Amino acid sequence: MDAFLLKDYFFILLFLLVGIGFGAVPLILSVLISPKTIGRDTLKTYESGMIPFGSAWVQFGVSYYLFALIFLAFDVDVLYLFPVLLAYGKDFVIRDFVELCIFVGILAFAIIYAWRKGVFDWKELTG
Amino acid sequence: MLNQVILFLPELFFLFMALVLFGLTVASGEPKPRRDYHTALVLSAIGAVITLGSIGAEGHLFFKAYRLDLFSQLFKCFLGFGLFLVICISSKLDGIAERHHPEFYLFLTTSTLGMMLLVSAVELITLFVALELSSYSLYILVPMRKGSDHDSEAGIKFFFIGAMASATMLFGMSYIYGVCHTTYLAEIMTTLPQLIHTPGAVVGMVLTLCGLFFKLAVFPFHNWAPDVYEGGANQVVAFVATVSKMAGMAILIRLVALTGGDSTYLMNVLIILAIVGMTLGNLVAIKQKDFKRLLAYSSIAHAGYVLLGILSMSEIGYASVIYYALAYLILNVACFMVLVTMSEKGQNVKIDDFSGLYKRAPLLAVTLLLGVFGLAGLPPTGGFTGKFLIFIAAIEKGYLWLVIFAMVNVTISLYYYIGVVKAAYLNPPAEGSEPIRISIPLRLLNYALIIVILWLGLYPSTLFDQAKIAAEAVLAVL
Repeated sequence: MDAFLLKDYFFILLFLLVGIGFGAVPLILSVLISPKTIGRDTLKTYESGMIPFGSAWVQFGVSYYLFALIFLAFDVDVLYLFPVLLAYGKDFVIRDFVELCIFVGILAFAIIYAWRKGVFDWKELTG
Repeated sequence: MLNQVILFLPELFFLFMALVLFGLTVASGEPKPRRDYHTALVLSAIGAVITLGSIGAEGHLFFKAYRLDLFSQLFKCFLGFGLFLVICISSKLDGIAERHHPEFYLFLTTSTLGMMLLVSAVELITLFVALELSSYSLYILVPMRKGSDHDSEAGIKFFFIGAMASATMLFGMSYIYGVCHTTYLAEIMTTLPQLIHTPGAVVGMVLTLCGLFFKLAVFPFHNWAPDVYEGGANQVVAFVATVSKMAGMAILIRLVALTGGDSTYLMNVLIILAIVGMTLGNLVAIKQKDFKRLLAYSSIAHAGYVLLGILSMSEIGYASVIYYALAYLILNVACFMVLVTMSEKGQNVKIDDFSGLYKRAPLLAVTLLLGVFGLAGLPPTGGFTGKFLIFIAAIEKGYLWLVIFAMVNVTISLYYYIGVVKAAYLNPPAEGSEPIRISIPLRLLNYALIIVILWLGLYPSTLFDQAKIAAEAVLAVL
C-alpha cells in the first residue's frame, strides 16, 4: 500500500463523506426548520399536492394492471433503440437494418404471445 | 459468411428450437402435452447431436466478443446433452399445468441457449447479457409449478437473490473495467495479473464472481437453493441442479483464469467460501427429510469442492473441474430421474418414500445407489474420480490441509447419502405400495446413466485428456 494508492483511496473516502452529507443534511435541516405544530392536514397522505379522497383499499381492475405491465415493458424496450440511432449506418447499413429488424421482430413475438393468451380482451369486473 | 453460420450452428439451432416451441405456446386448441413432449424431445436430441458435432470448431465471431474453442464447445455439448436428459425425464410432467407445458420447454431451451452463449462469451457485456438470459428463463420456470404454496415463495426468493447477485456482478464488472479500461477478456487477461494485488482489482473480481456464486449456490448466495429445490417442479429443479450449475462452473473457470493465478487475496476469499460452504451444506443436509432439500444442501457442499479445484488455478485444477462438472451432471440427473419416476403426481419425495425401493423397482434402486454414492464420492463412480482429480490438483498446489478438511467433509456427507441408500435397500416397503412400472425408454435411460456413471469412474483418461486441452484453451484466451 504505497502513498499513491493511499491518495487514490482518500478520494473514495472523500466521496463517501460527501455522499453521506447529501443524505444527512436535508434530514437535519428539515428537523431544524420544520413547523412543530400538528394540525388537521399534517398527517394526511401527501400525493403531489392533491387532496386525497376516499380509501386506498379499493379493488383495482387486474386487466388494467396487465396492460400497464405490457406498456411498461415496451416503453423500456424503446429506450434500447436510442443507442442504435447513434451507431446506425456507421459502417455497414444493411447489417444494422437487419439487426434492428431482428430486435423489433423478437419484441413483436411478445405482443403475439400476449394477444394469443387473451391479455388484450378486456374483462369486465363482476360483482 | 457461411463459415460463420456453421460456427454458430448449435446456438442457431437452439434458437430455432425456441421458435418452434414458441409456436406451440401460441397454438390454438386444447393443450396437447404428448405433442409438446415429443417435439421438445426430438428437437433437443438433434440439438445434442449438433453440439457433439461442433466440438472441434474454433474461431471468433461478433467482433471477437464470442470465442469458440475446445472449452466452450465441450461445455456446449454437456449443456446440449443435459437439456436432452432433462427433457427425457419430463415425459410425466405432472408438476406443471398442461396448458403451460410448451412454455416449460420453451424456457428450458432459452435458458440453455443463454448458457451456451455464456460459455463462449469472452467480453464482459456479452457475458452479462448471456447470464441474464439464462437466469430470467429460470426465474419464470421456478414459480410455474401448479397447486403448491411453496412455488411463489421459491420464485420470489430466487428472483430477488438473483437480481441482487446480478447487480453485485455488474458493479464488480464496472471496477474491472475501471482498472483495465477494456471489456474484452483477452485484453483484461494481459493487464489484470499485474494489477491483481491492488484492492480495486480484487474487489472488482470478487464482486464479479458473486454473480456466479449465486448460480452455483456458493456459500453467501446459497439461501435460494433449498427453497427453490423444494418449491420448484421436479423437472425444473433437475434443470437448475444440473445444466445451470454446469454453466456456472464453466464461466467461473473463465473468469478466475483471468487473474493469472497468484492473487493471495482472491485465494483467501475462495478458500473461506469453500470451507464455509462445504461445512454448512453437509451439516445442514444431515437434518433434511425431503430428498430435494437434501440435494440442495449437498449442492451447496459440492460448490465448495468445485471451488477447491478452481482455487488451484492450474491447468490440472481447471481440467478436473470440467471433469467434475460432467460427473456431477450425470449423477444429479440419475438422482432426479429416480425422484421424478417415484413421484406419481409431481409431488416432492421424502427420503422415507424410498423405503423398499429395491423391491418396488430394482433398476431404479441401482441407479439411485450409483447416483447417491457418486455424489458422496465412492468408487467406482464418476463422482469419486472427479473428487480425486480435484483433490490431487489442490495438493499439487500445496493445499494439503484444505484437502484434509474437504475429506472430513466428504465423510460427514457419507452419513446422509447412506441414509438414502439405507431407506431404499434396507427398509421394508410401506404397506400397500405397489411395484413401480418403468417404461422401456426410461429403462434404456437407466442403463445409459449407469454405464456413463461407471465409465466416468473407471476410464477417466480419454475425457480428462480432452478436459486438459480445453483448460489450456482457457488459459490461452489470446
